[in-house]
Amino acid sequence: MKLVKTGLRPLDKALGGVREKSLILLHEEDPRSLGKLMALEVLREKLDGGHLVGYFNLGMPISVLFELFDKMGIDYRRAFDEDRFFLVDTFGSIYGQRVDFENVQYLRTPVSLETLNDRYIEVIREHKRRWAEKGMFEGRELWGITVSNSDYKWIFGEEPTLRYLELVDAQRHTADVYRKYPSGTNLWVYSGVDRVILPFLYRKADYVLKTGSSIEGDKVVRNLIVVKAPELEDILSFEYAVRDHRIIFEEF
Amino acid sequence: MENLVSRLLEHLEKTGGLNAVISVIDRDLESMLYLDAIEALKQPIQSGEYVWIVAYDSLQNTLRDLKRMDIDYGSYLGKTLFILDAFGSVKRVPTAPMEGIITLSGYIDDNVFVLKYREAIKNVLNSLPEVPKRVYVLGYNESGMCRIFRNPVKVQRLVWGLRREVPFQVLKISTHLQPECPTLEEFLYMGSDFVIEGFVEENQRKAILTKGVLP
Repeated sequence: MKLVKTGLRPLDKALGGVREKSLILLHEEDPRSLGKLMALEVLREKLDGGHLVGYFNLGMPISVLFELFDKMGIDYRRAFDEDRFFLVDTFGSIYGQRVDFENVQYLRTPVSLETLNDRYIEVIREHKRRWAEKGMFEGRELWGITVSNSDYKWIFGEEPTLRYLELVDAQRHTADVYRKYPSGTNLWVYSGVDRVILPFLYRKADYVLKTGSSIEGDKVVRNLIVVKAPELEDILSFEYAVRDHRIIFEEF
Repeated sequence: MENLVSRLLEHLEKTGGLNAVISVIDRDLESMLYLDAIEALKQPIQSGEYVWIVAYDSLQNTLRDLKRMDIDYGSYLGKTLFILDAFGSVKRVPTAPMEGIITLSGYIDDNVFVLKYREAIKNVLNSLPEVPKRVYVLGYNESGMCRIFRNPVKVQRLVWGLRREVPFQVLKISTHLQPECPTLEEFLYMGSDFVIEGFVEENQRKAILTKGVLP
């Protein structure tokens, strides 16, 4: 089984990387922990490394997301130009705040939970077809990053979201796009705590990384906890800090 | 207790970083850190900077808090200070017309609010003698969104998206009472450059910068 690096150094060092084509659940337990920034660190690592990435934006106005990319020094413009990166703006597709940017994709309306996965598959199929025609899969990793799956709750409600995720799980085994073209390694962010969707995702994912924070004295302490990994028996924990929107692992 | 919001504003003014977002989160009812955010706006208001306040709690509470912080808002309303009465607009609270106080009229739901908010910004900008170089924006008790909108998470994010639609710097300060609307906290952390949390510990009010660095 080929291992790929995440760019999260303590994790890569402890596990040697993550298994290619696996599903990584990044559970941001509380907002202060800023766990989502770890997903953006992985995005940066993969774009800088010349790899292929599809990013699924569920929860942020695109202008705010691009501002954040800029603050983090994520060179998304170059990756767009080189056709290595596409961004599916689900938030903008549903709520209408859009930008005219090549490789920022809007889903064909109407978008509902019944049509959503078909809409995603249309976009993914189109990009994989282009990448295959240009021979771009060769020597490159393929990543799908979704920030955040928990946002479906605010759009569609909790129970329908769980139903949708269960259906997507089943469809992944039948959709041609995953058989005709290479499959990627997926990173799904989930923010907050609930007893409806999270248990399903904890069981489904190959890796579960959890971020949490506490205030101790006059200091914020943030931890990344590796809850689940194929090679792991015990739970691992790493302290990190956030500076200028970047994740800093103190010991590394 | 030192006013951390004022210190941050001073730092941002000095470093030319006023195009930023500061969130002030009260973790409990007693901490009242949001008053520091209002106090921090005293100097910009009194020096004639453009200030736009969006009230997600009652207008009277907003005006009372300005007064408590010794801000003579009456001299600036309608000239450089504007207050959008979001709470009163949605709840249909009758208020006497007052220069500089903006009420959105007609039918309002979550989507319509965002559209009318955008229109209100355009109307105010068109009424000014010049295009501002920068505007200070205060979201007064944004956690009030949970009381007035069906889907407060959606409205919060769409309103924050408007910030990049204007051709000038926006220094945004957003105040929240966390227990009143905990679901908004997630986006606050991601969308803000600085977050300050206020809480009470052993009868002492505390404020901690939990995102961003203040030299």
